[in-house]
Amino acid sequence: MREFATIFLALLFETTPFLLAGVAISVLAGPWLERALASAAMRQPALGIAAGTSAGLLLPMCDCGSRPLAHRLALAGRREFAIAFMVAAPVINPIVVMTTWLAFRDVELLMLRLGVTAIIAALVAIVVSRLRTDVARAIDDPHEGHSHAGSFATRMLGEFFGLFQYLVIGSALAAGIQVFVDQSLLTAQGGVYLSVVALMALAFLLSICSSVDAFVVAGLGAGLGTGPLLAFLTFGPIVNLKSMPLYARLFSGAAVVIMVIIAGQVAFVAAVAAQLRGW
Amino acid sequence: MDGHRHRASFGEMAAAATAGLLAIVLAWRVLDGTANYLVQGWYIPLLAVTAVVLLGLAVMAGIPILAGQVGLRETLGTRSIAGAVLVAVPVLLAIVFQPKPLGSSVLDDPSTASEVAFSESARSSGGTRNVYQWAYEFQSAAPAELKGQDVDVTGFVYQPTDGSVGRFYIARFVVACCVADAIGVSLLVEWADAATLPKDSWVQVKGTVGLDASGAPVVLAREIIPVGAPSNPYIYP
Repeated sequence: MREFATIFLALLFETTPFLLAGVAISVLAGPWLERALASAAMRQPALGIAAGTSAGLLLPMCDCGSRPLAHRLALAGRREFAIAFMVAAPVINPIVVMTTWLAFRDVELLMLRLGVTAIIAALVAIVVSRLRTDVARAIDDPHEGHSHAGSFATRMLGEFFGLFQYLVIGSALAAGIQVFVDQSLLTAQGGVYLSVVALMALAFLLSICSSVDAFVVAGLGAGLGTGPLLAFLTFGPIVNLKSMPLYARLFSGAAVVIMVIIAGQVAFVAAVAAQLRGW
Repeated sequence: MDGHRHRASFGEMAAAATAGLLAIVLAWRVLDGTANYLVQGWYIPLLAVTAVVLLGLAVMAGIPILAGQVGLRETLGTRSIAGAVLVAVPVLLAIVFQPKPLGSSVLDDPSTASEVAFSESARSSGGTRNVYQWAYEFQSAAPAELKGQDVDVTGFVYQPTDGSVGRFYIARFVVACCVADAIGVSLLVEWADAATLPKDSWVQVKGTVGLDASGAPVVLAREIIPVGAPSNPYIYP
């Protein structure tokens, strides 16, 4: 029980500052971004996807921080940019580039991580933005239009706690898995296909922040090849247990399912190809 | 706002109190140093800022709520008492649960045991090596090259129940982000009075690298100095 409580609190302590920062950016910079994305040029889907995929380079945010802003922009109709940003930003940002490099000092793995994530982001954005139904769930905002300090504070606090509840559920699930599931069962899997699937499952269960997951997988076990490493580093930041309740709160079921399927398929294929590569 | 006063319900008031409590608990764990047992060192300033911002938001939002001008149920997104309770769970847990550094019990836990690999950051760039960097050298360098080198490391005592006499492990946890990703590393130390060292006590080990019967590197302790647990017990990669 002590170990569960320690990991549960650690996950929450780790993510709370970033969730608050993401909400602050969503509330403060969201309206400006909405206007910027409303320009004629940015209404072109291809440009929206390209801009969303690379926006993390200017707005370095981990997965917890990027979702409130992505949700707001998706609600405002900027689907391509919002979805591409949500998927790509946790990986395609300067912090993750630096930590991945420090953990492995491997240009090939770093470029594969960025490239595969960009492909996943583009594919998810293309497919999800063509859904005929609403992509983002509406969250009632009784203070829309009010601008005094009290209203701003209640909006920000309201959005933060509305999402924090789901972070509590996700962190509890991730902590329970860490304490009660033997991780070595996953890291010890042999064979290309099984080891790739095992590392994707491990990334999903561990739910580690993308800014440091490279250090973690580098220390998980000796002998992991490029493929399983790539699977962990591309699938985990997008699809993980801690985030699923948050996704379910902010986005439609169809959008979440499509994202999970595409991320899983592309990460798996890319990882297997990297492991069996002849280049 | 909408021209009529809002009477806050019990659930709404509970949620409002939770906002302030979360800020206070975060600040408390930062100030008493126990947040260091949960997250990386560079998170501590972030947690402090988060606590200040949350407290400020709670006060700014609380005044109109208490004045009956704003319905908290809507503003906090907690549409039921269950929602407020859910938010309160980690707050209460952080109050009643005193975080402690990870220790031997985690190293003993088979569910967390895995063969340790090292990131490139474990490679030392000269100077005094810590337990993590020595463990990297023990795994990657030729034992003959390490033999005779001076060792001066600090860590906690780990004594697995394998029946070995005159030996113990000096261990540390490497934490990249928070203890959810902690990985234990250790060095085998030969010391005649190993059995007298209390489990999880912190010691400084001075000695040299030697080779055991199987040719594997081991620390031949010259001196064991009991030391207090550091305020930050983890090594960051």
